[in-house]
Amino acid sequence: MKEILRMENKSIFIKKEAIKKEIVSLAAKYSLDIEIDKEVTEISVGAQQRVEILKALYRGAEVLILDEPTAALTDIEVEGLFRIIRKLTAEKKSVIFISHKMREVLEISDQITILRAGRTIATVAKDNTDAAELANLMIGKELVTCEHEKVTDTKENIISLKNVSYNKNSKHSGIRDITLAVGKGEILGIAGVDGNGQSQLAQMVTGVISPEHGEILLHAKKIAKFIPGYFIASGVSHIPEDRNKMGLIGTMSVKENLILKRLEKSEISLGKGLFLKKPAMVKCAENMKDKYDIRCESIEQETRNLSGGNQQKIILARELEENPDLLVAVHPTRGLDVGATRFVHEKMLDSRDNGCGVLLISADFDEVLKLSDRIAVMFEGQIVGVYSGKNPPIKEISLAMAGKKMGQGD
Amino acid sequence: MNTKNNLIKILVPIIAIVVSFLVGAILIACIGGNPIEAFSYLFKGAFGSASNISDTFVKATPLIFTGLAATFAYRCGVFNLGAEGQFVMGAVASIWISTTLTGIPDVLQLIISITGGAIAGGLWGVIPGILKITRGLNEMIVSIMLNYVAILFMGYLYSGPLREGSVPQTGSVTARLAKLFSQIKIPAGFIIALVIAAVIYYYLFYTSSGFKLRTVGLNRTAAEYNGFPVKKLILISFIVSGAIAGIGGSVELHGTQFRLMSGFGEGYGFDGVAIALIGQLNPVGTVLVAYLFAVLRKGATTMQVGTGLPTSVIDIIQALVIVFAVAGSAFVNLPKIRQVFTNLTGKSKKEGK
Amino acid sequence: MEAIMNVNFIQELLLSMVRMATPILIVAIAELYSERAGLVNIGLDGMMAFGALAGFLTCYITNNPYLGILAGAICGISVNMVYAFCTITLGAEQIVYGMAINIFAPALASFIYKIYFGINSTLISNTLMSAAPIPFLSKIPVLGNVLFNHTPIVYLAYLLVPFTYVFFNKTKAGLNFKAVGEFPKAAESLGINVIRTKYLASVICGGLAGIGGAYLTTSYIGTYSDGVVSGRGFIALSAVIFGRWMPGGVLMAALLFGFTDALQLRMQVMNSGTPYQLLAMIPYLCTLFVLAFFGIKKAGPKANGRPFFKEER
Repeated sequence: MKEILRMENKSIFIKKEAIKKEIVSLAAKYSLDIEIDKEVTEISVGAQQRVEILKALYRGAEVLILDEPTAALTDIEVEGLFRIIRKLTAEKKSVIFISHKMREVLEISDQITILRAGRTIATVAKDNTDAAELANLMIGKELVTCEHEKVTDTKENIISLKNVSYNKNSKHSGIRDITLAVGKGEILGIAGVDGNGQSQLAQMVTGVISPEHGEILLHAKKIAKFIPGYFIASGVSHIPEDRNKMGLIGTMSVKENLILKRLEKSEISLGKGLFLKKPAMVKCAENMKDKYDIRCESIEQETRNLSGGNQQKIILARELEENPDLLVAVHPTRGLDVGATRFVHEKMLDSRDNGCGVLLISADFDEVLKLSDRIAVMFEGQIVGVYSGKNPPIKEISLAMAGKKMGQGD
Repeated sequence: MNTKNNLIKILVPIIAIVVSFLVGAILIACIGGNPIEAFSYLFKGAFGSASNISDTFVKATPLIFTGLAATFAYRCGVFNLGAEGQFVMGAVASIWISTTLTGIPDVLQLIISITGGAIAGGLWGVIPGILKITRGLNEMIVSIMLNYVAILFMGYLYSGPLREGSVPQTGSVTARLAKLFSQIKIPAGFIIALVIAAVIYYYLFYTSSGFKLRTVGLNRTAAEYNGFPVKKLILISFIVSGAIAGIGGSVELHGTQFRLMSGFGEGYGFDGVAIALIGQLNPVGTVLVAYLFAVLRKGATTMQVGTGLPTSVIDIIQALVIVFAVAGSAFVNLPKIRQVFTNLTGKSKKEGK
Repeated sequence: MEAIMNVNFIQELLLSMVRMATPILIVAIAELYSERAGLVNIGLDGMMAFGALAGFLTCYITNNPYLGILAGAICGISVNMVYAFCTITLGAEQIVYGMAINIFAPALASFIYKIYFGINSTLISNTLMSAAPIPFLSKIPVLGNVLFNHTPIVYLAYLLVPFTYVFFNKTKAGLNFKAVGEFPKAAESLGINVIRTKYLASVICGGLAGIGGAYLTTSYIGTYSDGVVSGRGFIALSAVIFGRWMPGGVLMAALLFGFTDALQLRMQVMNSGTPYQLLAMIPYLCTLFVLAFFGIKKAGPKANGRPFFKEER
């Protein structure tokens, strides 16, 4: 960590001890709690964030630009960040806080500017506006909130994990002894700050990695092979964490990405893939495009040219049209605008109503609260609590996400 | 949308070729030659007579094989730089089979020999493949090292155990590939190459397996997450690529050279890589570009005889085509340039409405 | 067998090892600078060929091998600038473009050679750089001859190792350099000019690779032919991998390859029974085995091989 800050030293050679002292005193001044001798990859995301801020301050920044700074922070860490920001502004430093989370924007800002499609729409003072007005300004039309029924009991489990571990010794990319189950026709939401083992959990229930200890049952059967192909054949669909890296082939056309999983189906090919029927491919893709409202100039267009929202819809279409028994959705609305987010949520709920079990992993706490029938909290690779999705105890869940229990201090 | 993309893909190599010839012309002028005269000799050398045309096909054949080998491998995201070694090992297997299996009809011997060449090439190609899959080794270096080993091994064979006569070379093979069409003698090997090109084209674009192979080359992680057998496909690409090059070596032996000697297969490997890149990794493109390279090679000697200009000029033009074609492909793929293209077509669409 | 135990033989062998490791070492360090800035350059072989020609030609014309080395450096840089422009500014795939250079540069070298010397098969020779023994140290028995009785380029090559180590680990500039290769976006946000650093890395890489090639024709053998490089550029690449991207490791790897090369030459002389081709295979097979057993999955700079576009999100 010292290395990153070192780079700002003016001399040619690096004087380690002198710099260390400077950094420690600066950190104390702003109450930034960091472990200076550790490597950046070893510390939590919240701590990494503090290092970033310290880096900027060490260079004598007068203006601090924070781009989606709370994406990976717990509510409590967000409070801490806001305290730091208020201290900075008290010292006459300026802060630009970029975020799509209205609650936070309203809390910390003095002035709010709304951008849409690259243009400035309006600038309002915090005291003159509220969430509803901001939402309107952001998407340009009235936002209707939707209410739906929550499921409170399920009959059977689609997938169950028992005492599963992977990479046990890692706090931020491992799973330690977790026991979990997703029932048919329910949405189990995993709440938690990014970097507490959620990625590994998602990879495990889709067959990308295999557990080192413990047992996983799919459709009440032991898993034959931990490869994605087996899980897909068993009815598991996956909306991956990083749609461009893990889900889509950017340089292939929209059509090709849509029918990616149907290559051996008799409607698309003869002889299980020996001859691909091009007209059938087009027809199938057009149907999916219409059904899921994918906006593109043509299905022959390269997928990488589409907007994030439409790209996500391609994945959604591809995965849901398989009529899965289990849908694993990881940060499914990351980077999507309000309209696209609503669409994705609707489709996920439809799936659930059709009997599909949904494992929702998201760093967007509001999303988890809204959609989940049950909420499990992950912290440092463990499940630290399971709560009902109907009238969820928000404060308790929030504390659990930071690894603390009710009654413990901040 | 797709047609526009395809159009750009074809234009880039064509423009690269034109520009390279222009630069070549300037170069010729600089060293005191006459570009028009030089190019006319080049053209005559390649197309001037029936035997010239036939020779051009002969020269194109091995290039098509190594070009296809590189194309197939690169479609899976794999850099097979070992085509030269696989080519040589294919020929080595063929000569060994030919000298061991005597007394059977020529056609049968040819079939067995070429199959043997395919197997040898495939085996030589699978070595970097296995190392890549099991140990994550960069296949480029491994395959290039194997090139040198193969060439040295061939040298050992024709100087030692398989040597015939006082000159270091092997005896000649008896089963030979005929030339078809008595007017313009097209070598049978060329036809074989075209057939293989067609098979590869079909596999890549009309089968689900070929589709999956292409996704591995475009985005390996996504291919894995979508349940495609990535490791198996990578291994297949190495084996098939090597086999194609091996068949090429075998065909070259039975069709043109008839014996192994110093310089057999020289340069075909890397040229194949260049051909694949310029041909935009499309089997059809590969065949066309390979033919172009053959035209250059054949015409170069005639040009040298006619005008005294060294054949190296043509080497440079050939190399320039690669440099410009690859740079051109990269250029049109730049985000800013892609934006320009979308704006161009976007505008025309709006005006159409 | 007795001959091998002879001190003289060992001394000659080690001397040869040092000399033969030199071009590999210089070029491997060239690649180290390039890869540390995130540019995988496999066009080393081609740059060496061009550097070899430049060195040979200049030395032949001016009778000064040092000018030859300088010419080699300049030509190496020029060729690499083509690579640099196409990969850094145009974003062409580095590996593909490295191959393009491997085809283009030797063709250019061959062309210039043929234009100048005409098309014939006799090898022209030029003056070789003379050895510059270091006073006192070269008088040490055995070791003195092995280590201190070489041409200056050899000394330069080995001095590069500690210099590179200090640069990357102890200086601010070196740290910035490494940052560009590991995580260019972070480096850019810190105000490091990523594009400029990458171009600088390409200059260093091209210069050193050109020197490596020029060394072959001005200090090692005195002639130029089309195959003079014989794959050393690729062996240098494997030295970088085998040496785990550290100057010390690269030194070890280069010495190992130099040793096998020297050994196989000696064995050819001694052992006229075995055909020379089988012995000549040793360095290549050795590279293969070493890679197979010690090569590990990418341990190099994380942003290696990827183009850097400022606007990408």
